[in-house]
Amino acid sequence: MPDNNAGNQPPDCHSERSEESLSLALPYDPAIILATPPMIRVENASVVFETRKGLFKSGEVHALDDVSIEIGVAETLALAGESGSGKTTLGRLTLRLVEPTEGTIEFLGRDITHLSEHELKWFRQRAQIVFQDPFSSLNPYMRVWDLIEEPLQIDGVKSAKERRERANEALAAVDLIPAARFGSKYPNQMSGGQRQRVGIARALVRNPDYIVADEPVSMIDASSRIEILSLLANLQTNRGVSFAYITHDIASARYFSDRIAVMYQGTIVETGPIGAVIDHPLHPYTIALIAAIPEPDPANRHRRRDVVPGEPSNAADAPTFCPFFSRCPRRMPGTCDTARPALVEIERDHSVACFLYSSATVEP
Amino acid sequence: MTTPLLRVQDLFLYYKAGKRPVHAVDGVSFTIEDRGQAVGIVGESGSGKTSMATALMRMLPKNVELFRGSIQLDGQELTTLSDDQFRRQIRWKKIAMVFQGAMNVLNPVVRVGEQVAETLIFEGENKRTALARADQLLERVGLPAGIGRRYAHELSGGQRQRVVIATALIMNPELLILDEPTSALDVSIQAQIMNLLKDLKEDPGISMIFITHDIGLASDLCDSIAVAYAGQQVEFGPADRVLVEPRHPYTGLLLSSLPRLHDPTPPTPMPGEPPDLSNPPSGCRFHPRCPYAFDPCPKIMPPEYPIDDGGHARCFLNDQYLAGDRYRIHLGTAHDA
Repeated sequence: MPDNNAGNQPPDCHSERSEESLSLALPYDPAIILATPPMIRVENASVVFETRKGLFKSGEVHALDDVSIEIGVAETLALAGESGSGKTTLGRLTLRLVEPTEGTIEFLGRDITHLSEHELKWFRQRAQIVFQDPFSSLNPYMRVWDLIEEPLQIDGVKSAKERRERANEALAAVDLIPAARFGSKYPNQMSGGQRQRVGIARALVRNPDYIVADEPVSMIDASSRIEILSLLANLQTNRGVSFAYITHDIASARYFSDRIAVMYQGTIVETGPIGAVIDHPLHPYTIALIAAIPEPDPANRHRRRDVVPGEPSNAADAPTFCPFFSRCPRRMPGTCDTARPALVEIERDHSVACFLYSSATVEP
Repeated sequence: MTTPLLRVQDLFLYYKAGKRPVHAVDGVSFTIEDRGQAVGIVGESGSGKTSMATALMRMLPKNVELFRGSIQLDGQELTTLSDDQFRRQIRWKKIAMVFQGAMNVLNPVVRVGEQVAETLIFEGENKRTALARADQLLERVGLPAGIGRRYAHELSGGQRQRVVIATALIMNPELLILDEPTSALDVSIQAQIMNLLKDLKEDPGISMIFITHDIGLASDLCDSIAVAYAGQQVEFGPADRVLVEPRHPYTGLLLSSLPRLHDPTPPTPMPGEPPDLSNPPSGCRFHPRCPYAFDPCPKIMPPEYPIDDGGHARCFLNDQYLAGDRYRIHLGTAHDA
C-alpha cells in the first residue's frame, strides 16, 4: 500500500492492522479477537423513517429493526435481500449517511453514533461508498481525472501535482491503464465496466479502510461482473480494505464475501460464513433466493423454478410475527403468526431467525 | 420438411454515424423451428442484440444506411412488404415486443387495463370488449383480478413487468420478442417472470426471442441460443449443445465468466473490452480478445462453419484444415471437471 496518505490518518491505524493480521492467522483465538476491534460494529440498530400521508398525517416506515452486524478488518460481509429489505439502509447506516433511531455504530472500536459532521471528518476519509449505477453516479461534464481528484480537493490536498499523481495511482489500481489515456476521457466515452472502475477509483483515492459497495455490478453485463468483483477482492487482499457488499445476487457473493447476512423486511433472517449459508441454507427465504438463481444448464428450461409467491409487503409496520409468514412455503400457522423468531446460532457461527429451528422469540 | 416458424437469413442493418457506418447487425442468420420454441440472443452491450430486434419489428431509426436480408415468418417473406402492409398485418399482430425498461415508462395517468387494451381499441374493437379482454390477459399473466383499474405507480416492479407482457400479448402474436425483460428486477421476482414466460411458451404456445446479456438466464427459457458479438452471430445452435460444448471461444468465455453457486473456483474474467462497431477489428472480430487466436484470425474473417446439429460457429477452430491440432479443441468452461 502506498504510504503517501499516512499523514492524513490517525497514527493508531497501522498498529491495529498489524495486530489484526495476527488474528487472521489464528481466527479462533478468542483472546486476540477480543483485543482488536472490528472495522464496523452495529448494535441493535433500528431506523424508522417518517413518511407523509396527506397534509397532516404522518406515517412510519421501519426500514431496519433491531439489527446487529460486525465486519472485521479485511473482511467482506455480503448484505443480501430483495429491494426494500433494508440492505441499502444498513449499508448507509454504517457510513453514518443514515441516522439510527436506536442502537450504536462503532468504527474501529470508536462510537460514531452521535458524532457531529465536523467530528466525523476523519471517518469520512476512511469510509467510502461505490454506487450501483455507473451511468448516473458520474457527472457527465467532468473528465475522469477531475472526478477522481474531486475528493482530494475537498480533503484540502492543495498541490495539483500530488492530486494528479494520486488519481493516476487510483486509476492504475483499478486497471485503467495507461492512466493518461483514461484520465482525459468523459464518462460517456467508456463502457459500463470501465465507468464502474472509475467509481471505485474515486472511492480508493482517499485510501479508505472501509468501503460500502452498493450493488456495484447489478447494472453491468454478466460477463464483466466478475472482473469488477475480482478487482474489489484484490483490494481487500492487497490493501486490507473491509467491505460491505450489498447485492441481491447470492451467486456473486460467493466470490467476494467471507460472511453473509440475508435480510428480509428490515431484519437479518440468516447469517453465517458464505460457503455454509449457500451450501446449507436454513431459512426458507434464503433457500428461495438461492433457488431463483439461473445457472447455465440446458435442463433449466424444462423445469419451473421454486419461487416464493408475491413480493414483500411494505415495511410500514414492524410486524409482531415472522415478517416472511405470508410468503413462506413452510409456515406453521399458530406458531409463526403469533410471535417473532429471534436470530439464534444453530450451527457454529451460522444463525437463523426461524421457528423451524428454534422456538426463541424476540421480546416484544 | 416443414417451414420453420421464423427464418432470418443474412440480415444486415447499418446506421449512418459520422464518417463510418455502424455495423449493428452484420449478416445474422437463425431459425425458430417450431411454435412455442424460444431462441436466446446473448451478448454484451453493444453487440447489436437490440438492433436485431428492432429490425424484426421494423421500428428503425431514421439514420439507417443499409437494411438487407430475408425474414420469413411462417413462410411469408416480411422484408418485401411495404411499411403500411407491415403495420397492418405484422407488427403487434404477429410479432410483438417487450422493450427494455418498458415497465418504467407506463403512462402514469392512464389505468393499466386501458393501456393493455389500447392497441385493440385502436384497431376498432369496442371499448368494453377490449377492456374485458385486457382483464382476462392481466389475470393470465398472474395478476390479481381488478388490477386493470389501478395506476402504474400503485404496482410493484414485478407487477408492472407483467402488465407490459400483457400489453404485448393483446393481439395474440405468434412471436414475442423480449429485450432484457428482467434486468431491473430482483432475482426472486425475475424467477417469477421466467416461470410466467415458460407457461406462455406452452400455452398458448407463443414463440419467443429472448435478448439478454446473461447466458445463464437464457438457459432458463431458450431451446436454442444465438451468441452475438460485434454485430455478428458467432455461434448458433441448440441450447443442449451450446451450453455444454460451445464451438466458439467467446461462448466458452461467457460461460466461464459466470459465478457458480456451489463451485468455489473463481470464474474467469472476460478479457478486454467490446470493439467499436464503427471500426471493427480486421479478420475475426473477436481475435484481439481471444485466448485461442492463431495465424489466420487477424487476417481473414472466419465463415460460418456448419455444425451437424443445425447450428453454426464463426471460428477457424472448426476448420479441420486450418486448425490442425487445434481442430475442435475443447472450449470447456472453468467449471468443468
